[in-house]
Amino acid sequence: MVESAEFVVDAVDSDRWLARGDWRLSHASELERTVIDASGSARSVDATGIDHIDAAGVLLLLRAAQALSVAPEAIALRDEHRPLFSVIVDALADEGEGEDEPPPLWREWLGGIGRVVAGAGSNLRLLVGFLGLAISRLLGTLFRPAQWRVTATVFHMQQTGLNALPLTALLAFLVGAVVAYLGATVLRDFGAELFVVELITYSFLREFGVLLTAILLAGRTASAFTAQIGTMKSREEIDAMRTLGLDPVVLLVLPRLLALLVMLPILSLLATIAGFAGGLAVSVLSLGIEPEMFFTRTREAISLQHYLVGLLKAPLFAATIALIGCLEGFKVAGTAQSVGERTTSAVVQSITLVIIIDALAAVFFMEIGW
Amino acid sequence: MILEVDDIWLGYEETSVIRGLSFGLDTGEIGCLLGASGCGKTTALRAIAGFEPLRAGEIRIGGKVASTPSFRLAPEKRSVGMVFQDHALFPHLDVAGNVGFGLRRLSKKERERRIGELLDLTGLDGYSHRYPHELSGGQQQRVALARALAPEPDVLLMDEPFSNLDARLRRHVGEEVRNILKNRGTATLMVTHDQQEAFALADRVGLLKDGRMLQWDSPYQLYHRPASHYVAAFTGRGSYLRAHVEADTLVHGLGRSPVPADRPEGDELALLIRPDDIRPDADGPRARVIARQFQGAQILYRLALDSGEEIAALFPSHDDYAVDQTIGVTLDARHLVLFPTAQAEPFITPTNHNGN
Repeated sequence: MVESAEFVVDAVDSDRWLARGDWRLSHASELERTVIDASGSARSVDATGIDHIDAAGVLLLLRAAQALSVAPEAIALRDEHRPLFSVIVDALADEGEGEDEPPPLWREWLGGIGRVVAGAGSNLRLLVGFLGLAISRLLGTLFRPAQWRVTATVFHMQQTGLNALPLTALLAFLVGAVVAYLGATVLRDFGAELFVVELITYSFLREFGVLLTAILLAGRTASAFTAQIGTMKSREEIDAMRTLGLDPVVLLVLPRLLALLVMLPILSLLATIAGFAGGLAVSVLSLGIEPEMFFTRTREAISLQHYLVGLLKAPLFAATIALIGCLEGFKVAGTAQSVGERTTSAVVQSITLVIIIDALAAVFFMEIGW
Repeated sequence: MILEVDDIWLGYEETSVIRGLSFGLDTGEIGCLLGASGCGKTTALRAIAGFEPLRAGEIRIGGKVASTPSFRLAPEKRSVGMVFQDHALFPHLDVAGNVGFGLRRLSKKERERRIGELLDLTGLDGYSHRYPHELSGGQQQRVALARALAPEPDVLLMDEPFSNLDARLRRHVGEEVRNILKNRGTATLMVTHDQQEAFALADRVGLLKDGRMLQWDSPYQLYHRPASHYVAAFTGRGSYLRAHVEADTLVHGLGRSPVPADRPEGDELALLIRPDDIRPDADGPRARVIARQFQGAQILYRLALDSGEEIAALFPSHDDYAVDQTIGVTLDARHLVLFPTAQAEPFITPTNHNGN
């Protein structure tokens, strides 16, 4: 009885390989090494020297036989091992056959939906995990000014805030004008054109100011973050950073997150003002409302509450956009193509999430009566 | 041992990339994992850096456990430096900024001193305000090295460090890098597919195939005492002669030699002949030149022996023979490497192991 396991060429007949010893799981790793070495071709494999065998051993034996181009039938076995052997050979054959038949279309379609939902779920979990990581790093560096990345944060404030200002203002101005026209068209029938002012004030303070800005930044900034971090990832700069003992979350994510947290509320305030300006222009030029009247009615309509409803959403949107942008960047694997895919995904995800959060917030504030 | 790799297994999904790899490095030692593309050498390196999870085994750095299947110390916490294949320099930082990137915890003065010292060491003084795109490949390579050495890591890892350099520069930079590393005394592990590079730089070379280490040895041993045919073929040109044992001597196409102690089983054996094991000798057995290739300092010949076997031989270029000329040769090998005949091929030429 042999204590270890062996797989060797027969000394007498070099076309025959001998398997001996204990072919059970406990010897599997040792056996695997010898089995890998087996190559070339042989006529038969004699496994009658095996004292004990289990499923792992049978699989290894089959793999060895395959490497030697010996058919499973040409393996000589002891009678007591044969039942296990044939069960496994049959099972392997079944597995191979099952792949041939394509599943019906409706099942594939259903499976597709399942995969998308599961993917979205795991994506969300990843995002929440990333949020936790960012918060823990933020708290960790809060009391260590030496680790603050002031220059980078200011740089990103300029990139995401200042440089986005003209576009945000223009968009908000135009949307303000459109809302004024739209309101006037409906309200004219009731002779209530004057209420256009309230319409503009409410809609921009509560919704449009911050939502327009967030959607614009989701397209402009989330994609930029993904592209920047993704490029660094594909050039192994992130790995280089980590081997230098530096944490990429502190170095790359926190400056972007903080920059957006500061800039998004400021931008949305400016967008609100631009929206008012758009509304004012249409009111004065086309609806015949005097500017004094516009300002008076606006002042009466404005209450801090409405402004807060809009402003409270700004940090949520900022965090959503920054984190999705950065996370998608870290997901880049390898090629430049992957950078493109992740960038698209970042924009789609952040716009979707921003609008979902906005809708939920609208319901919430309505219910609490704000 | 500053770096200990103990029977590690690595893989993606269902495939095992590394199966049971073990080796160790001492302080000041330069090790190299050598292997053809796809043998898993880069994966092994990334596992040591902490980027890949282990399936089994253990990695210890500086005596502390760095990786096990259930635990992985973050790369930023394990005191390894890494030089990447494409250098991965930060494009928006100048040379001093790149080198000092990992030194932000030091005071400004101390940081500048350290940067200056490293730029001196790597011969880059005067370039500290250049940007990576303004540097040549060799200079970028040295910046990457200086950057990796700056935080004074216990272990330095290099992933195909010279593959982006042209052949001439590669030899030059390789020599420089070896001097720098030896001066610093940093334990270094590099991976490459080029056996010349491995031999020139490393103290110990491990040859990988299909995720397993075939031999971990000094370059000399690997070349002259290969443990298997694959090692012999990978590490350089060579040819095999049929040999058999008669009484106490080994008889082969170039005469008789003493039988080595570690002779494998079997009467019919294959004797490995490296081209540099053959010397011209007017009194030796006769051989006919069938091909010659002028290589500068040496000439590579293909010789046919009386037994009909062909061997490769490398002579100094002053020993200039014409094709079809018959010359005398002798076997001048320190160690005779014998393999059981069954698996030997007649003639081995190192294949071109380009790519990853």
